[in-house]
Amino acid sequence: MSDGSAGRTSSRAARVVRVGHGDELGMAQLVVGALGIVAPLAFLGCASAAGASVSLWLVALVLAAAIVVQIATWALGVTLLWAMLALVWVTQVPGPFSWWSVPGALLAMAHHVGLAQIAGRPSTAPVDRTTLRDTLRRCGVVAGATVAVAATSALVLRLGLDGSAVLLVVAVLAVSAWVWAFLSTDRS
Amino acid sequence: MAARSSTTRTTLTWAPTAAHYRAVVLGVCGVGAAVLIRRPDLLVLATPFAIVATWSWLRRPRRPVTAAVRLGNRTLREGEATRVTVTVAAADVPLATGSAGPASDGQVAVAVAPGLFYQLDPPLGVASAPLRGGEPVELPVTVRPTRWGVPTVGPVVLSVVDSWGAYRAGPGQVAADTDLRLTILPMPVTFDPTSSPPQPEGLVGPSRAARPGNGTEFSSLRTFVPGDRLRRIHWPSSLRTGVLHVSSTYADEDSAVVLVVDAFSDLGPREGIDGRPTSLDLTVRAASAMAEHHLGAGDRVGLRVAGAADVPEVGIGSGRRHLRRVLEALTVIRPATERREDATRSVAGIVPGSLVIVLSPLVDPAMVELVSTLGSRGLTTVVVDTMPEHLWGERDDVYGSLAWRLRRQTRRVDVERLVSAGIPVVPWRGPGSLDQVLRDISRRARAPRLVRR
Repeated sequence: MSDGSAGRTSSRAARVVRVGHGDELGMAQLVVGALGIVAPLAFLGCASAAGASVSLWLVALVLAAAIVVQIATWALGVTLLWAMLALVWVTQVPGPFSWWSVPGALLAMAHHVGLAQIAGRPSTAPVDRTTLRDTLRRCGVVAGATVAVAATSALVLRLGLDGSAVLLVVAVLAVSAWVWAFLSTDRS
Repeated sequence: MAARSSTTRTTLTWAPTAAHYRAVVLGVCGVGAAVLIRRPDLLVLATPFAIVATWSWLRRPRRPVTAAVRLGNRTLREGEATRVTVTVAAADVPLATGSAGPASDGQVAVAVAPGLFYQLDPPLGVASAPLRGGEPVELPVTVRPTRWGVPTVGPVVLSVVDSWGAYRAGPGQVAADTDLRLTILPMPVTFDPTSSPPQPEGLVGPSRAARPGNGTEFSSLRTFVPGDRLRRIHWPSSLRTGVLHVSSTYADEDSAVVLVVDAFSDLGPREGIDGRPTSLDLTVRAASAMAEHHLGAGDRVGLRVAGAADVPEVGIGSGRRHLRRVLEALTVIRPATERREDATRSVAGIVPGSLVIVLSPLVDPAMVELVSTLGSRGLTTVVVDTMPEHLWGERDDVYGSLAWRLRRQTRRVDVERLVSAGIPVVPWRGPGSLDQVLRDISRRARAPRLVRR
């Protein structure tokens, strides 16, 4: 009478965690949740290493904001949080360039991509290996591009092309992207 | 049991997510601000968002997603498993066959809502798989019902996100509730009595009748009369007496068995097939086993349910299709849904000569009265006590324990009253539960008795 499936379902346990009265969370959701707390704080660490004066109240403010955004699962809150952190960077870090902006950018990307991957899915849905591998591969491409932008910026600044450095970098990147897109297009 | 499968299709359209808007806003504003205030480090910070936003937009899915839910077998026994399969593909790709259309990579996640009386595998009912270039993706979720009835699986919720999580189709319910309704038949328990029902009064069947006829069991030797078959001639006695003798036999007839199920109450916690049974679990499974046995043996079986509304009355019948009717009627029982307190309506029209087997925990007074009524009508009635043993244990709370003891005493008086009225009450013990009592009834049936009419 059965359709060939097992007479009993398997007994493997579901690895989920319930925090308080909230939803059950799978491993992927827990990792992204932890990343949502750690990434802003680590970003502040990068800013501090880049020369910013990060006070304790700022750390507390960012931590509270990160926790609130995480608990409320507030998408706009994440945008505001990272906008605030970017503002902190611009106002606190002496310019015009620091290599610490690269890990800061990667932390922001990791948080953003993690949230995007688990959003809209069941709170216990696992992320399969294939998807995880593909996501990491794409993130690697973006990270490489970010490092390239940073290297170009550093090179432009070293050559003493101040003033139009950012615009020059943007122009160089735009031309590079266009050439790459042109060459990778299959015209056969 | 015949198995059917059905398919329900749903189309989900793509929409940008909040993550995409975040990437666009932070990317565009970050790059713009970097240009305006001439800060290359801000450009570096905004670069990942700008790249992700651009990449997502260039690779955005352009075709809606079609999802089909297929339910394996709708009719199962308790403990058997079936499968809910969700197939996802681009809208113009046939679900049955693969097609290498334009790539819209992403991930599909399906969640089947858990229910009280079925288990899911994966354990939380959540399955996910990568979506590759429009190729159909199948996500199976195994469903194992643990209690008889007509549960509805689901709802099934589907969500598809693209590779960057920038566009999402769903989450949306894929199938309507009524599309995933299962019919869970009671678990077959062993019931194989060695004695036949008393008073067989049908046409042909497995039971020896009281009247002589063309059967298999020897009755007597008598002289030959015209019409007797030649192969019935008993040659030794014919040679010894010089007169033709034939061996006569009893007729083989079928019996009419009417199962009366007490659905006035369902006592005990509902733990399903893996736990302890409730009184109604025992009742339904015992009725199922008896129906299977008697119908398999060639008898005719009918089913009456007292105390439950909307249960179809199953008349006397025989055969495998009739067994299916009986089992399906048992699955739709919802206890204590009948508003009428008098249950005599449920046993109206029972043919005299039928063996009436009442399956009841004998807790509700209406059922005790019903049994008394059946006995007083002259119907051969047997009560199978389906009160689970584990419910007789002592309770923790003082008043509950006292009330339960009082109820037990009342029940004992009711049972003694039935027994003194000539209605046997036997506990359900599986195979052989009715052996002794059916033999006793067969002996008693041969004796004259007084019936109130």
